[in-house]
Amino acid sequence: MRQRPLVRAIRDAIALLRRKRRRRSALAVAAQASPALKALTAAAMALPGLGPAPSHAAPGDLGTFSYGHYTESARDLYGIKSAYKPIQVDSLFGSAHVTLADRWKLDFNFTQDTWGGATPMATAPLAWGGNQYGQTLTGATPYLALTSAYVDADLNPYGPYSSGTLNAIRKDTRLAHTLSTASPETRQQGDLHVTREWDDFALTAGAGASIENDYHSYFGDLGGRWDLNRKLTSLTLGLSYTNDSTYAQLDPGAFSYFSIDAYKNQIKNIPDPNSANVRHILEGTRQDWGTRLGLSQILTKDAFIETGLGFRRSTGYLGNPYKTVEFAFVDPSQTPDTTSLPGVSLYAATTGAVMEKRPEERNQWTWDMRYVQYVEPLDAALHLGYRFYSDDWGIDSHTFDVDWGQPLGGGWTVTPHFRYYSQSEADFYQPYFIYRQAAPLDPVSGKVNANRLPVDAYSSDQRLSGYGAVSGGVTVAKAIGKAITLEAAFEYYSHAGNLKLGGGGEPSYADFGYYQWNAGLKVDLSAPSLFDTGGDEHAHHHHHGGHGGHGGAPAGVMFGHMLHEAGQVMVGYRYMYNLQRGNMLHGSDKASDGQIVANGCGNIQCREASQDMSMHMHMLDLMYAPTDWLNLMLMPQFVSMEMTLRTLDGAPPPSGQHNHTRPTHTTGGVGDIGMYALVKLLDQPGHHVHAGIGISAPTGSVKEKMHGNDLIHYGMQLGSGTWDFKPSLTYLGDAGDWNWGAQLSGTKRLEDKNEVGFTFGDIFQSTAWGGYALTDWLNATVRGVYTLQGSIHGEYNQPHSETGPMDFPNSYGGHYWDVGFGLNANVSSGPFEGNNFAVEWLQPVEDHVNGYQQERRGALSATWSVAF
Amino acid sequence: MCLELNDFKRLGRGQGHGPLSLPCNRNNAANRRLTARGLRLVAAGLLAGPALALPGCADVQPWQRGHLAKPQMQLEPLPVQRTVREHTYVSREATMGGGGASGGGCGCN
Repeated sequence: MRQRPLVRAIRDAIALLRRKRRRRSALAVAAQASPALKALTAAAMALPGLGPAPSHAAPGDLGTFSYGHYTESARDLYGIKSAYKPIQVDSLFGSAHVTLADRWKLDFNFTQDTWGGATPMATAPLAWGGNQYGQTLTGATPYLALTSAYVDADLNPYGPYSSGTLNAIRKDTRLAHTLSTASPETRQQGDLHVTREWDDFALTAGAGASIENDYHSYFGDLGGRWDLNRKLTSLTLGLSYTNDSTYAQLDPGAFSYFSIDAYKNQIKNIPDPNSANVRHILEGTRQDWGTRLGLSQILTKDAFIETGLGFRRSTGYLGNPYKTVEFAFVDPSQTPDTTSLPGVSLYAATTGAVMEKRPEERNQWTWDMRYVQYVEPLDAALHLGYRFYSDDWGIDSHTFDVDWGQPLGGGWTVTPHFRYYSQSEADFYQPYFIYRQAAPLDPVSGKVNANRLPVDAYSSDQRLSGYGAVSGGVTVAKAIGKAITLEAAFEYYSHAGNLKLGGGGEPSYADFGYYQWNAGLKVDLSAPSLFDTGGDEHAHHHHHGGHGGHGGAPAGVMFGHMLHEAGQVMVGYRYMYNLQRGNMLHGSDKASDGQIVANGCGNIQCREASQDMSMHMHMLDLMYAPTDWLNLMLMPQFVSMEMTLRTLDGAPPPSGQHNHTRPTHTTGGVGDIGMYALVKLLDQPGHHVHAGIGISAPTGSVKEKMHGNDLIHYGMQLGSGTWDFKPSLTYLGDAGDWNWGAQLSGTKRLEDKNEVGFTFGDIFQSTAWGGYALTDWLNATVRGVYTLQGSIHGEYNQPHSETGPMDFPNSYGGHYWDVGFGLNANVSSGPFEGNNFAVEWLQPVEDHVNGYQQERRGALSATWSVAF
Repeated sequence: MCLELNDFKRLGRGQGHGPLSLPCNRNNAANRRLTARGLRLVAAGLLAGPALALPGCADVQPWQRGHLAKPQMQLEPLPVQRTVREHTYVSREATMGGGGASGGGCGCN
């Protein structure tokens, strides 16, 4: 009975938590409460559904933003230099986890990857001229046709073949990849999940999509959690469904070298309007059903375990449209050639590359287990994980991983991790396939007929080979105040055949490694209320003072407000989208295709113009006030662009090297980073003026290329390539419910040319707006914008595309009028208290363009910020 | 209340019927052998899980769970890192995740 007061205290703590939930995070309560209440709160938080707990219960409302980079090592090509860089990926990740209402939670995740570079397309014996062995550079076209193929009676490869004589050749069993590359492509993925929690249950439902040019994936899932045994045990059940479709253009450079017979019915041949070429598109669909049953169990006050059993069934087109397989056939009826090597007679093999073919179904089981142990003397946590996987393609895998979460004090946490992975090869995997029989050749094409192969599934994708991989890295996190945590991580990964558990992995030609790093921040969205303890007056000042005190500048206005208190920090996110679509313009008038063909491309005739072009820009907005009259800003950004081209009526026939077989071009990655200072010039009731000075550093690439080696259209580069000076002057005013403002801003290039020979034109912009407070938290604005931008100076000093006006410097810049309609919300209560949201649509009114450019359809700006 | 071992045996058997009766493209005997081996391992895992968990049925009262509530003791202490790494592993390895819910789309070749 001595427990009774404790039980009551816990009940009180839970009640307190629930009452405060809308205004303050549980952590905030813990921070302010007495030590006894702290301990009880921590205990209460361990109850699933009330706070972070082993049983997937949700932590407080969070927003995260992170940027990452992935770089693969070059493959071993036996001294040959590849014309291609290995794969690199730039990715952006953002998420929000918010409480919608008592016991309702919303999760949103967004990912964007832009990747480009070389991957293996096929594998063949080096001795047969695989990967153009014997030459010094592999060209821009994947080399699949083998120069010669000789084997001994045991099918060992021999080479190199030299001028018809077999005397110089020797046995050589080494293998080599043929590499293939693609222009940069961008994938975007978003998903949304809603969770409803009860005392002992939680249900989650969600859906999402992942979109790339050649691959669309849509998915939905349902999950449930049941806490039992006084929340010592939790059971989870998840169900998922995925529907994917492939729309892949087969490599135009390599197409004539491989056989597509097995996929004839799935390949569409679409004449390319830009050239005499035909685009070959493979279409496929795939469905996956998955389920996982999980159990988590608290073992002691310092340890718990989580284990689960999963099953996934995939059906449909499960192959990779960019991979081919080399087949070799040795006709046993031939008379072998004798050689100068004692006892060695050689047989000629007929070879051919074929698109890989995998079974159309795959059933996969996993069993995974995770054990988490608290190490009290060090305040650390040890995580041990194991996963077993088995599928009916013959692949078994084992994954072991260990993490050590070590808080160091001062808000620092360091988490090193290590992982070992090993898998066996698929039944239908071989680096290349060789048979003692006459080659099943197609009498018309002369290629190997893929419908008459001795096997019905075959792949040389090294992801299906036997190998092992070790990886390790470290994550460092630093909490700044109660609201912000910075997090950075690094990992190195090494894939090698000889790391396979039990040996027998793929030889070393397939070994590779990669490293990846990411850095980002996590914001506790409920934390701003921590600063409201000074009472309503302070809160009022915080909300309005933090965002200008004047209703807020429209979302499309940068440098529109200042922080007014020394020591304040603001974290924000800014998204901008703009679209060009419709008529081509020359000055303010519609330009005909004939005019563009004749005049848009300097001395040559234009063949193409933009059908539409879109740009997405994600910016992180970090602001700090060292004094009440000075703000420092850092604005890293991430951009992606997409342009679809069309052939102009009356365009001349293609002239060879610039044939477009991919009419949509994409680029994406880190843009230019801006660093600014805002200085308060005037701050009177109803009137405020500040000046901004700053520079934009050339961190964005200006060497983005298309398929092949040509630099892409100027406007699709990710940055300016030059150091730029960016001054601004802003005025804000207000009276009663009315507010207004004006701004002059500019961009002056500080260099004559960037590393590829050009500079974008300088920019001048002026804008003025008026706003009205619809409610005490919502403000509507209308504004006018005038923009003037010069044309590009200089031109590319490297090979580049020259097919349309977008490839010529004089078709950039112009002057423009726009009208903007915006809404600003300063949330003063509820779960988003202290947050500022703003959105604005800019509607073009008049365009006057230099050269020939496409008309603008509009621009959307959306911002979120929170000040501490 | 702890789960009965029999529940897991039953679940293990239930998992077994469906996949074993699925049509296989080729090499049925080999596939069935692999499948059976996979299932045996999976069943062993299922038994091992609760067996390890059984000692945990010792009571841990709610006010004794302070250590378990620490950030570093969460099942996923670094969710962003997990998401980033898992995405890379799935795009470079044959294993398709943990069988849980996730989307397709690779962002890779």
